[in-house]
Amino acid sequence: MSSRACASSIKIVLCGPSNAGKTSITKRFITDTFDEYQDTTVGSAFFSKQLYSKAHNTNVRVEVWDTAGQEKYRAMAPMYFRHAAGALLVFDETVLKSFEELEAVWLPELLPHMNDSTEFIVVCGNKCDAVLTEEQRESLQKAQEACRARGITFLHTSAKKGHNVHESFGGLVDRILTRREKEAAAALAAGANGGDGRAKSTLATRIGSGDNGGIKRSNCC
Amino acid sequence: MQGDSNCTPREKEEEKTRVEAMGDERSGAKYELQKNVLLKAIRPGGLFYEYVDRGPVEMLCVPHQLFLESSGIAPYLRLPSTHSHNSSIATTTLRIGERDVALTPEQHQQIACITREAFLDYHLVHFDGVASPAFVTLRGQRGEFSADLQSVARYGRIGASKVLCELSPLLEPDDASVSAFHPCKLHILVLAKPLMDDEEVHNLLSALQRILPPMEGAGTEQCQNDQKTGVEQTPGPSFLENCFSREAILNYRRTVAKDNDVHSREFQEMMKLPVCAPVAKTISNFVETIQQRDAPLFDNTDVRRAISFCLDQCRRIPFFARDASKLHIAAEGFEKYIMTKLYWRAFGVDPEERERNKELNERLRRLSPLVNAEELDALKEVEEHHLWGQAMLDLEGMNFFKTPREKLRCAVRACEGLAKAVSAVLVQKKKKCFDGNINNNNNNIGNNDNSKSMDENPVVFGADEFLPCFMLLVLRASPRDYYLHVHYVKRFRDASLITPHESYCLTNLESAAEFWLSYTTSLSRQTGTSRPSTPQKTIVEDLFIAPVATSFIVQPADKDEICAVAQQTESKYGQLSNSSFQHDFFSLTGDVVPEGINVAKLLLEERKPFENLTVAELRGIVEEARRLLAEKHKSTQTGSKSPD
Repeated sequence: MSSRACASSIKIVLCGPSNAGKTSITKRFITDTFDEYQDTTVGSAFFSKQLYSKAHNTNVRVEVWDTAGQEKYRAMAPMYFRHAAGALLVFDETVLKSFEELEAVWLPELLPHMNDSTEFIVVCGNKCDAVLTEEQRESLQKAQEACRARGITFLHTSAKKGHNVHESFGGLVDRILTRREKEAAAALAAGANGGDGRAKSTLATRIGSGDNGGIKRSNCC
Repeated sequence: MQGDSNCTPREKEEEKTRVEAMGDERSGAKYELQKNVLLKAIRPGGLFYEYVDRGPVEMLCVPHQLFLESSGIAPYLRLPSTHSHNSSIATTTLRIGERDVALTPEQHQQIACITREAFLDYHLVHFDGVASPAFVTLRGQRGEFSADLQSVARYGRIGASKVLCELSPLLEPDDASVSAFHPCKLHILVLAKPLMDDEEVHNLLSALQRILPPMEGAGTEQCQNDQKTGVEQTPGPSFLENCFSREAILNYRRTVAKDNDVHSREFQEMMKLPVCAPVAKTISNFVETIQQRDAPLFDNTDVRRAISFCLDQCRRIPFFARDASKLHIAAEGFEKYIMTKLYWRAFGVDPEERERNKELNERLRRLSPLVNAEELDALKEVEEHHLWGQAMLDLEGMNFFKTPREKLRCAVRACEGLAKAVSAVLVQKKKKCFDGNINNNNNNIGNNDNSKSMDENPVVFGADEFLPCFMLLVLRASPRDYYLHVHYVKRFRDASLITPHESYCLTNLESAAEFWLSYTTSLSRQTGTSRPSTPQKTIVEDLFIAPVATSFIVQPADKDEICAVAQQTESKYGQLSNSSFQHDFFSLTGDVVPEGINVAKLLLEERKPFENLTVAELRGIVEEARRLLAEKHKSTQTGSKSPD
């Protein structure tokens, strides 16, 4: 019931090789005591948290869907990508070929579900506090350049120290909310201009059921 | 043989009844007080003395000793308390006739549990009121005493059981040694027959005999219902067999209902209100229309449209408009009502899905003995956790429900139980790792750090740990019709009503089905790195093959699956896209099933005039709308534009 009362929710999928620290990052995000978090759900690889976005002055429920990173389960990951608003790709900065694996395996599976757009994908190089060798730094430099070339946000994170964890999720959520506001404005404009737009909008309202109707009305007010 | 054994007790009972009638009630009372094994079982040292009683109950009905002996229940009731047993000797001896059976502590515990739940709880009675003869037992069975308290009859059963005599409570009400509702504190009535029918008695005895060592078992066990037969064809853990009796299924349904915020009664009460009569009639007519079709339900287009229409009607009723939670109850109630009525026309109706289900069942049965936890990267200790069995039962529990929501709730319970088991196993592992202080590799060092930081927080794990264990759970449980359940829920569970966590669990179910359908043996899996790409190709090929094989009927199903699993609140643009999809579904459905056109168009027509009419006129409009000729789809669209 409480989740239905939320104005909106955002589904974020979490993927990457096993032991990269996906769970630790999520745990840090969910349980960070510096956030005024309420009503968190932890268990069975599904995490949910109410998040306040300062940029948009609104509350949003973030649902983090974890996926298994083992090789034998990678074929199952696309089922979890369905209808995702954003994605966090996590790799281990201390493992030299971890990013290459991420780029070769997960990114091709993920892009079709994101309309081939990299706007809402964040690559997290986890365990940045454990990077010691020059070879690792060179590998990271290449990874960063590859992400920049594709327009993907790249962040060095440390779940242990909390470095960039909130920025990873928060930045992604802000961009998603910005996009939704633009789409809502465009829909309103289309509705105001054309009769077809109005008819479709009305039909959408009728087809919607349950709390969706209430949500729409509250949005109009 | 069974016929003879059945006749003999009845003849003996008749003779006993005559003797009782001629004799004195006092002598009968004394005899039962001394000899009755159920009364002995509730006394100190008896099987039920440590009984964790649930109230409120006022009376204990005791079948008389002759029945207990002739039915074969008496030897079990003579067993001592499991508590004293645990503290003293290693095994207990159960004497049946001239044979002694040695019981392990687990078997003893199981017998105590079954006799409590499947026998004693039938005879603990709570009256509806102080002066009311109507009662309900702890098992939820209802019955009534005659006015003079000389007989007792259960509702729905033929005949009554005679009350032979009455006994005072064995302990005073203010006795502090036991709690308020302990059987020793209750008034006692000795009955000629138990408050159970023959089938229930037989099920009890079958369950008890099944616990005994099979070599020494007396007589053959018979499976009286299909589910037992199904279970034995796929041999599973013993608890599953025990749980498949009818009483256990009812118990399980009750347990799941407690977990859910089910408001079926409130929904029914709402629909009885006069103001809701048009909605109730609409939904009933819809169900009747679908039931009269030849074709089964392949997709949820009609169901979604009908529910949407009914909810629009509800929103115009002030009773619902004031309270959003009532609208939610109505939405859930509509889905439950419709899908319960149309279950057999919607579940497993696709031949393609039935083939896949059969294939999956065969695979799971074949692979279960072969695949171990390590091959799946799962935690092998999780199978030994006490919640593992309950999680397996919860997966099988999907067979006990018809509505998509309740099936999904069973899956959610399985995931939650498994999550607790995984968490407990990980806690133990980290304790061992911390104690062992192994620093050989980085993973262990990382684990140590994690364990330190997690001292203040519960253990948090992700899909890397959970999903392999879930795959193992599905393999070991091998639920019947697993594939059909998953696709039924995907298709017919309302996307707007499903919670995010439920959706995640549904995706777990789906991934487990695809995983096991595409699983190859461990030897070939370990061979090369090219192997992981094979399952993906298989899945892709299957997705393409299905629509072609079944012409156009499956296409609406595929699109509905997309809608059914929709997670987020979509933007208005997304909703417009959905509305265009809805039109496509309507066209496809109309092409396939001519009757569908009528239903959908009638609903669309009824939608328009209601906006201009009061609630009082709704009933007449519904009647008139049914007589109108169906307009074309385009005309309906044109009509819907005019209010704007």
